[in-house]
Amino acid sequence: MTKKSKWKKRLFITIASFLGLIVILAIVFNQLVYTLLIGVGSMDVYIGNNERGNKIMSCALSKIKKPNENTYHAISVQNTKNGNYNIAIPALEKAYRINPEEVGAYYGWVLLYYYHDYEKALSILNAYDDTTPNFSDWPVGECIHYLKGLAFMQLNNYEDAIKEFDISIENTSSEHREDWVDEAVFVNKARCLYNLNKFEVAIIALERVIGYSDKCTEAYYFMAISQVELDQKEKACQNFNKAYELIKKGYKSSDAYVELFHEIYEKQVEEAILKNCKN
Amino acid sequence: MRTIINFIICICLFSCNENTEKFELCSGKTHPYYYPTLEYKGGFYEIKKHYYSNYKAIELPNNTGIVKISFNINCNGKPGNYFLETYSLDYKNIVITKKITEQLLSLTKSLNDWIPAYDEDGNSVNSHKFFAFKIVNGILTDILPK
Repeated sequence: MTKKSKWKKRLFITIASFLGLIVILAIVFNQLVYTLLIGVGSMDVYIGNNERGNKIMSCALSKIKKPNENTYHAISVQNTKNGNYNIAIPALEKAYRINPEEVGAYYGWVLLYYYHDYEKALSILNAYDDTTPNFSDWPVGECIHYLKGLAFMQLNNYEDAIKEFDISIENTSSEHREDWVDEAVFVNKARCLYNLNKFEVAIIALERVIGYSDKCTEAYYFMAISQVELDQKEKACQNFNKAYELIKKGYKSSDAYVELFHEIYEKQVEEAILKNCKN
Repeated sequence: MRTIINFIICICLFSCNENTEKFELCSGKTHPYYYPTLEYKGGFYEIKKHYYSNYKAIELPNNTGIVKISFNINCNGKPGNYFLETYSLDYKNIVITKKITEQLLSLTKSLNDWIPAYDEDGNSVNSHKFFAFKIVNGILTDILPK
């Protein structure tokens, strides 16, 4: 081969490689732009432009060659927060079908808190929990047994709810200490006991919470509710007043997005005092 | 006679003025209800009480599903721009009887104790908010999100 033809071959390879690189970059960049557009649409939905934001996301999605679970998840999140359930759930279903092990944790959690779809939440959380036997999962930072307990509680299945809350308490206590258990687990367990007319046991559970955290307004309030049932009016009023004093100071369980299942309000405590403690 | 005519004109003008009073957002962005936090006097406890004590169950066809009402609250705490959508309990678009949707819309419009959200600089801002009502066989069973 002559020097000239070698040089020509090298030039051809260089140009071909360069063009190939441009094509690859164009494809990647193109896909990146559409992925970024999903974010732009989501931001638009965030500020309340539901229709326009979703049009942007829908257009971008149609151009993405192989959308993955993260793409569908991104579409779903802001639509859930704005109550666009007809868009959020189909997107989340697609994400779940692509990667049930990764998406199941969030899906079960969001169905419980944001949709109050307790049966479906339980089924997704159970499926997710089954993927890791002998290991207690923590979807979105919350113990899976606590989440399952909440779903059972909301379905008025208090016995199974208590079983799940107890597993949650046991797991955390054995891994760390009992005072590491979130006070909400005890409070909700006590609420289930109350619904089963086990008022004394409910009070014991709430006393444990107060032992660990004397600023737990909900513990005082729900203890007072049980004491009313036991006709312990004086103790009940002391606890209602303690709850009122704490809630006035801002000690209260709440979440920015949704109402918590054991959430109580200043007005609610005020009404309980008026009803039970004023002659 | 002239006094009566003047009085009628005044009444007409007053009622026209009331009907045409337009909702306007304040200048600046509209924020979601959760950041910065939009509040209602008495909290969600009062809101739930308002709906559960005033809503009348409807026994008509198409009386099961989710009614979502979204709206804005301007920086003065005034609500407006209501928008309504209806879904089935498995989150598909469906039609729900107007006897339910109009009742819920009217109850939502009568919530007038909004406390506007304040940004980090202490200025009140516009917010967007929604309520999703679960209706089963015409009965109001749940209100989301808070």
